[in-house]
This record gives sequence, C-alpha cells and structure tokens, in this order.
Amino acid sequence: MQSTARIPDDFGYGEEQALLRREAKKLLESSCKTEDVRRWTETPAGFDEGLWARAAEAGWLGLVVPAAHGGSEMSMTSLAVLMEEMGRVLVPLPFVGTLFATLVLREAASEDEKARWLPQIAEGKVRAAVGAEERRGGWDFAHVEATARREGERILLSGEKELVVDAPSAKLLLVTATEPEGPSLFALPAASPGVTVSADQLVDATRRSGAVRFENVVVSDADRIGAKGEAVSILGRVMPRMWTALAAEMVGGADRLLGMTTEYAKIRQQFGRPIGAFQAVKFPLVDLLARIELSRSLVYRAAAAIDHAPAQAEKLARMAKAHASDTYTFAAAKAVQLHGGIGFTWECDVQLYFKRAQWSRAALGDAAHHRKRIAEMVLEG
Amino acid sequence: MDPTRDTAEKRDLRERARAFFQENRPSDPGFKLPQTFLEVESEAQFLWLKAWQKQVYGAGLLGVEWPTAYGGKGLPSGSQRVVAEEMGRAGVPFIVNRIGLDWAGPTILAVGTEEQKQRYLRNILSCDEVWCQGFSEPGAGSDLASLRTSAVRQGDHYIVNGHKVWTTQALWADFMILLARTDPSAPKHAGISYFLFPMKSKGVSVRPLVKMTGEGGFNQVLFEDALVPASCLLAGEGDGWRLAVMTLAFERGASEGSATGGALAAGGEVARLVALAKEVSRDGRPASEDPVMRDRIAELAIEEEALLASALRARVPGLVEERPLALPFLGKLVSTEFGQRVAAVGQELEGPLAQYAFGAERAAGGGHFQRAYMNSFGFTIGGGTSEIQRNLVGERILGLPKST
Ligand SMILES: Cc1cc2nc3c(=O)[nH]c(=O)nc-3n(C[C@H](O)[C@H](O)[C@H](O)COP(=O)(O)OP(=O)(O)OC[C@H]3O[C@@H](n4cnc5c(N)ncnc54)[C@H](O)[C@@H]3O)c2cc1C
Repeated sequence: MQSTARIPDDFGYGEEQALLRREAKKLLESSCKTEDVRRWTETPAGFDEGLWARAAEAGWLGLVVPAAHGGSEMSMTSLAVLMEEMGRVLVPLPFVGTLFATLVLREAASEDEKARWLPQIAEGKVRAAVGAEERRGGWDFAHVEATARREGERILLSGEKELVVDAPSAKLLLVTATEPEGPSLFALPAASPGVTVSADQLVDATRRSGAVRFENVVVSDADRIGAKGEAVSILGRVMPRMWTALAAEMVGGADRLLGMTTEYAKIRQQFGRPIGAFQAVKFPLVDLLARIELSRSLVYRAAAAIDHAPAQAEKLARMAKAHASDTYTFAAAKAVQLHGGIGFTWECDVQLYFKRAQWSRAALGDAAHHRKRIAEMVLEG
Repeated sequence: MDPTRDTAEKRDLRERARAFFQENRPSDPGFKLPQTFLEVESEAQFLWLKAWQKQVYGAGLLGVEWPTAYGGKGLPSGSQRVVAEEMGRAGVPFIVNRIGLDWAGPTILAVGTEEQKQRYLRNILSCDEVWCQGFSEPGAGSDLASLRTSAVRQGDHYIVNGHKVWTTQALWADFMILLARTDPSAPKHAGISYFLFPMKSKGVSVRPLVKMTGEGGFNQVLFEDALVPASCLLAGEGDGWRLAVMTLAFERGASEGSATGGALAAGGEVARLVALAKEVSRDGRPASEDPVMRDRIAELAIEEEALLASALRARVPGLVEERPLALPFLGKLVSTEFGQRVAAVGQELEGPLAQYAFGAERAAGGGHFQRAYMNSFGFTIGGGTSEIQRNLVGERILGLPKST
C-alpha cells in the first residue's frame, strides 16, 4: 500500500450515504415492522420474498457488485449505513450470506464466473452463501477437513461445512476444500447431486443457516474461485468487510435496544416516578449510549479505512467487530433487565434483539477471538 | 498519531510541531516533575514548567486557534489537537497554565469585553499570568449552585468573603475565575456572579492541601473582606451560573475552543502499557506473553482507538446527526474512565512489583502507573464527577427525567 493512503476527515460519508440512509429507513420502516418480522420468522423460509424483491429493486443486492456486472459498487461506508439500518429493524433477509459470497466472487472469481453469477445476484435472482467453517475449526478458515480430489478432468468435493449462514435458501454455495496446494474455494450450485443442506435451529429466529454436506460432488477447474490453495488468503482479504458489516448491523440493533429501553424508562412508573429517574436505571443506559457511540465510531473508521487506507483495515475492522460484539451483548442484557418481567416474555420485542445479539457475537469471531489477533498486532506488530 | 490522517493544511503544522519537540525536548530538570498540571507543588517545578510553556508558545504552537489579535494564530478548528498529538507522541512535559488556556481563556474569549480580551488572553498563552478556578467550596461540590462565598458591591468595588476548596494551582495563580453570590435573596442559580479575580488582592490567603499521592497541587482559598474593582466582573451581575456552565463545558471538552487541544488528545497510554508488559514478568515469563494480560491490553487498545475515532467522527455532521451532542457530552466521562482502567491494568501487569510506590528505586517503569492510578481519580472527580456526568448525559442526551 502506498504510504500516502489516508483515511479522509469526513470518513467518506457524504450526500450519497445520507440519501441511502434516508431511503433505507423509509423502506424498512414501512415494510419491515416487528409484527412482520415475527410472522416471517415463523415460516420455514424465515423471510418474505416480497421484501427480498424490494431489496433488489432498491439496489441493495447490487451494492457491492461492480457496475460492469449490473451493480452499483458503492463504498464500504455505504454498506455500513445499510447494515446499520437493517440491524435497527432486525430485517430477516438472507442478506449476509449473499453479501459474503458476492464479496468473495468480486475479490477472486474469474471474469467468466463473475459474469455468470454477479448480474443474477444484483437482480435478486440468485441467493448465495459461503461455507468456510467446520465443526472443529472454531472460526479458523485454515482448518479444512473437506477434500477436493482430482480425477482426470473432474474434481470431487467431499466434506461438511457448519453453520453456513443463509445456506437453506441459497442457490449458489461457495465452499472450501483442501487440495495438495492447500484449501481452495469452489463454486457449487446447491442443486448439484451429492449436496445436502440441513436447516439449523438457531438461537436467533430471524436468521437461517445450515450444515452443508457434499459427497463426491463433481466440479471442474473452472469452478474454482481464485488459485489453488488460495482460499485462506482470499477470505482474509474479504473478512474486514464482513466484520465491519456485521459490526454495523450490531450497532444498529444495539441502538434500537437503547431507544426502546429509554422510552420504557420514561413511561414505566414505580414508586411514584418514572424508573428512568433512578440512577440505577439511568446509569446503565448512559453507559450503553457511550459504548454504542464508541462502537459506531470504530465501524465508520474501519469502513473508511477499507475504502481508503487498506493497510489499516484489518486491525480497525477487527476492533469494530470486537467492540460491537461486546456492546450488543451489553445492550441486550440491560434491555431485558430494565424491562423487568415484561422483558422476559416472548411477547416483548426485546427478546428478538437479544437473540440476534447472541447470534452476532458468535458469528465470524467473538470479541475475545479478535482481541487475540489485535494483541498480536499491538504487541508484536 | 498517524500523520496520514491529516489534511495538507495540518501536515505543515504537524511537521513544525514534530521538529520543534524533537529538537527542543527539555533535558532532565534535576528534580521530579509532576505527572499532570494538577500536581504542581514546588516553586522550582512551577517556574520550570512556566519557562517550558513560554518556549512552546514562542515557537507558535500554543493558542493556534485563537485570534491573532489576542496572541493566537487564527488557524482552523482541530489545529491545536495536531500539536497536542505531537506533544503526546514526543513525550514532552505538559503545558502548565491549563486552567487559563482551556477554561478561563475560552470563556473570556466568548463573553469578555474587548478590553478584557486584550488584557488577559495574550498573557495566558505566554504564561506570564497563571489562572486558577474558584468554583468549589466545602459545602458546594457537585451541587455547585449552593455556593456561599459572597461578593457585596460597594461603590466601584466588591467585598468578597468566603471559602473555596480543591483550588488547583491557587498557590501560583495570578488570577482566579471566581464564582460568588452577589444576590443572597435570589433563587440559588440566579444570584451568582463570575469574577476575574486578582489573587494578589489583600484579604486572600491560600493554604496548600496534600493529595493522596503525597503531592501538593490544590489548595484552600480564604477570602476575608477581599476588595476587588468592579471591572473584574465578567459579563453582568447574576450571569455567573450561565458562565459557569460555559466554563464547565470547556473544561469537560464538550465545547471546542481550548488553547491546548488537550482534552481529547488521548493516545500513547497503550503504547506505555506495551512497553511495560515487555519489561515485567508473570509466572517467570514476560507479561507480554501472558494470554490474560494480552487480552486486557487488546481491550484497551480497542478503546483507545475508539476514543480517537470518536473525536474525529464528532466533526462529521452526517455521522452524528441523530445525537449531535452525545459525543461532546460523553467525552470527559469516557476518556477519564478509560485513563483509570489503563492505569489499573498497568499495575496489574506489574504483578508483584505493583507493591512498589512510585519513585521507589526498584519500581518498574518508575512506578508510573501506581501514581497514574491514584491521579486518575482526580479526573473522574474533578470538573464534575463521573456520576454527575452520567446524570447530565442521561438527562440532556437521552431525555430521562431528573434524578432528584
Ligand atoms: C484533583 C482535583 C482538582 C480540582 N480542582 C478544582 C479547581 O481547580 N477548582 C475548583 O473549583 N474545584 C476543583 N475541584 C473540585 C471538584 O470540582 C469537586 O471535587 C467535584 O465537583 C465534586 O465535589 P465534591 O468533592 O464536593 O464531592 P461531592 O459533591 O460531595 O460528592 C461525593 C460523592 O457523591 C457523589 N454525588 C454527589 N451528588 C450526586 C448526585 N446527584 N448523584 C449521584 N452521585 C452524586 C459524587 O459523584 C461523589 O462520588 C478539584 C477536584 C479534584 C479531585
């Protein structure tokens, strides 16, 4: 990276992002109310095709797709804006899996593969997912037991990926499997013979994931994304975006919890006054506000680094994910506690966010996982 | 700090500051310097620090955002912070006249008459006149508006009687921003006035207090029929509370305009922890290899970055539009509590060596963190306690009902 790369003073946040935020808010507030979310999450698919179509129309699915392939390729800052707004309303769309796959394709696929998949993704016709983690890997992409065995022109993939977000509704799966050169990434239509996707029961009812099993599934060299043995490095280049995107979503969710709980603290009366007048209630809300504001700063700084100063991107993105994980967890705990008995009920919306927070914390590395790498950068870097 | 974050305009200033601090790093004065401006206890320390401030000002690096008419440089907002970052980076001694530069000065700049601005501001920058703040009293701390010190108008003068406490630098100060009650019959917040009070007036006595660090720095100030000219009044009679709130906003970093840029210039503390972690041991190995200690350091590194990112984000309107005042209001609370945690972890890193007092011959890193931990409470108490900050943020930003 050239040494002149710098994070701009305005964080790369301008009129384009403000407009995107306004439009996202409008669309989500009107077509993704909590009662809708509850209804959709009780269906097997877990989401509404109508909302998916509207998301495609709004250009969200093409947000990270290059213009040459039918997208609008906006900045990471824009993506953070969208994720923050989605997190606020807990939108139950298979967006994260498709986003992940799009980023991987954009980063490493051949022109042919890009031309084959990206326009369809941008239009909302193809949903995708990335299977890169295995049961014994614990967030380590280098831990790949799945194999890619060559048989003449054919490559046979066998193995199992766990907790593949949005796999159940995906048409395209990107999975890692080991070749002699190391783990490689392969594009695998979900309908390929030998592929089975189970539907997981997740703590977060607004998400879907599945274990992807593949047994002697036939692919060819053309289906490899990037070079042989490059999977870990490709994923490593994509991850700062995913961490930052998830962190942004978590900030949105945490902020919504703060809003809900603050409102409740203003109206709920005990001992003749609103509970928000008690410092035992007020102070945790202030601490939550402080954490949210700090998390948000890290999210947008990481996003701006990804866009403008990539040398700083990994560290800042890990920081954003770690901080936001702790913030959302804290938000969820305080929200339930301060809502009292009602907060412990199924009926109270807080529980939906509480569970999203738990899912988000465990996805793509929790705070301790990222701090471990950050410690290396700070102490040895 | 990372110079690649600057606009071209600030890069110049940064380079100048960096070069100056590199070439003019003061040599060891031969006596112990205090850690912050709150602990200046001897005349030798004070005179040495005064000379240092003069030198920094002489190099054009102080008050850079203040108008040139009053000795400043008229540079855009955010410029002083660049200098502060370079000071932190160079590890040079602090600027001593903080109360003048950050609290009294900006208030005078905001509401003083042209004559008052001409009279006081330049001397604050050059450290020819040092300021202290006479707000707190034995019976009026968090509940500042209950103060009782009185100022009674008599012709062209006021006669002041009362008792101030915790007055930082009163022993060295030439002037005090003084809150006194001019109308005892008015409601508690209404009868207060704000004076630019000359400390050398007759009837003023200063009694040093000793802090738990063993150092001096703050004092009691007694007024017995102290006579001051009416021209010492800032703004109008009875305006005191409004001005006090303004000064406190500057003090807490909630308003831009300080002449040191110091309040938000976090940074460097985690680097100090890293250095210490490599120097000390736990379980017979460098503490920097201990997984628990590494996690603690990473946590603080994240928070340090978050504070820095927040200081920058606070200036991007589109990114703070939902709660424009949240970051300024949270600044003091989060940065002082962060400082406290850093110091606590610093001691934890030292393991058994944390038993040494600062200054002890065998203490690690000179016992910096033992002293810093104690001093950190000065910041979570002074200028409005963390509890008061939480009340303020809860009520002003979240709109929660009043606690009392
Ligand atoms: C190092 C240092 C330097 C200082 N320098 C100066 C100076 O230069 N000039 C000056 O005027 N003052 C100065 N002060 C005084 C400082 O502003 C006061 O100490 C501070 O405002 C707290 O007042 P207090 O000490 O009377 O504590 P109190 O107000 O008695 O508070 C005691 C405890 O009660 C808590 N408390 C009080 N009210 C509430 C409430 N409503 N809700 C919840 N908790 C509450 C406080 O948070 C604190 O924990 C300095 C203080 C320190 C520590």
